[in-house]
Amino acid sequence: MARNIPIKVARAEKDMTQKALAEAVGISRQTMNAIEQGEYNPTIKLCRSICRVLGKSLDELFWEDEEQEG
Amino acid sequence: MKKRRNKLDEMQEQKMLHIESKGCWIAFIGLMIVIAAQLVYYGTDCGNQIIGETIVFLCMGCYVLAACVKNGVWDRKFEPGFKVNLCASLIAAVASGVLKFAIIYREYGADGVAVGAAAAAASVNSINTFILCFILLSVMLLVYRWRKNRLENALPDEKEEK
Repeated sequence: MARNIPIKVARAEKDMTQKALAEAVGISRQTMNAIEQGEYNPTIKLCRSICRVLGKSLDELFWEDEEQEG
Repeated sequence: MKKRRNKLDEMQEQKMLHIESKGCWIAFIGLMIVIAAQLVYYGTDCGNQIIGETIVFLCMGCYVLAACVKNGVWDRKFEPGFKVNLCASLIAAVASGVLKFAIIYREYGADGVAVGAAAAAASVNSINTFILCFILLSVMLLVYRWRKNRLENALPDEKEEK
């Protein structure tokens, strides 16, 4: 799974640390880090929570082209 | 009593389930080895000594079997069918035959009982295990198919959903 750069960028735009975002969403920092590193595939429920906190759409943060998905 | 809130997030929950699953398999295989070892070491008279392990082992097996059938799942890698049942029954038969041979040989080997007699008893045991295992698996397969069909048909019709 590819690294999730859009989350990192959106987090930086909001001037949030991984820990702050994780707390806002209600997960641990290790889970947030795993999502950004592409090591964990979150549920749609968690994806929506992350989008809500960062003020982005699902497409903006989680859409991947076919090439990236492989 | 008030139910405690889950303190794990979804990834930690998944990890915890993996850990528990592995722990469960270790306990399952460990119990099997312990029961077999006690049977070989103490012989067939150790029924009272292994009753606890056997009950726990059977409870685990029955739970996994019942839960799988209830949820309409069979196995990750093998398609349910005659061939798989045949292979599984053969493996069980060989394992039980080897165990029976070891028990008899350990118990009576010193008294001069021929290896042939132990082998004959093990063969009879293997055949019994094979027949019982195959019947049980076939019955479970029928129940699984019936349950799976029921679960599939219980879903609302796709046309209705539209």
